[in-house]
Amino acid sequence: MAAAPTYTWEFVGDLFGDRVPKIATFGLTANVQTKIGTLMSMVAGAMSPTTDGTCGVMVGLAAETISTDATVNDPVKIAVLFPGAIIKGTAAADASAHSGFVAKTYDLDADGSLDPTDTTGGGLAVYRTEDSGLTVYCVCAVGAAF
Amino acid sequence: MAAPTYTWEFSENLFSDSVPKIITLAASTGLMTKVGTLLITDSSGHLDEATATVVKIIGLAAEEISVAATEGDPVKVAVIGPGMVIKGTSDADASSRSGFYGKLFDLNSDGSLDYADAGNGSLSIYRTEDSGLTVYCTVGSGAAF
Repeated sequence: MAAAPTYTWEFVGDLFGDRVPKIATFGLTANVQTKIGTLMSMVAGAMSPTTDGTCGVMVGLAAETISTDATVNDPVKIAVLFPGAIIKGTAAADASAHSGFVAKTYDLDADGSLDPTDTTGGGLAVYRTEDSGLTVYCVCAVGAAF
Repeated sequence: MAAPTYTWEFSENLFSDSVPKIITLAASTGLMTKVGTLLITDSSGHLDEATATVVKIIGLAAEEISVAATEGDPVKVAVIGPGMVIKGTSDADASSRSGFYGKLFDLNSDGSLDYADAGNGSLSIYRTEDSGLTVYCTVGSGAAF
């Protein structure tokens, strides 16, 4: 069983305007599960929870819970992210030194948290942090659709 | 360091009617701005003036900083995103570069567009006025996208 990653994300706002994500339906990769707010990436033509190395092809946030392992192409509703969309999540360690748009290729760990030491293969820029750098507000800088 | 001579202003958005939001970011040591100074982020996440290498544009200063800043001082910034058009000054006739000729145009240290430098920057020239000396540019690549 491939449980959904521990840490989820939520949409906060749009750095460049007042847009909000649209919900679209995509096909899932086999044997994955989601929570509401699981960051999802397009890998080999299907949606998988974003993990180490796949944040650069993120598409959006899961908008529903899938609690049983998916079969290939099972539908999943996703809130599609876009350049400038701000999402709030959890960092694996103090990310305060990375705030202010230091880089735009930050990646996730397998548990869904932001890895502030990994700028390879990702697509997030850290806008600001709270809670001693453990809560991160990130802008989507690189994704599968932009 | 004094703020660059030439400033920019928000003009419009090619893709929608959205306008820049104002957010507060942190200054680098010595930063000085005018309203409309084009700003970039540096490698430590602080704001700096966009001069000769504008690879990480974040927006336009929304306030004047007339005394050299201490690192971390707050600065209000109008954040520039994809499709947003900013209006500024070219150092020479840039009319032949309009129509999105390239998207790596750079600035001079005085804040004007260096129409002859299409490397190391991140601006694209949409159109020009005033014999090519007033330029309307979009940002091809920025710190946040």
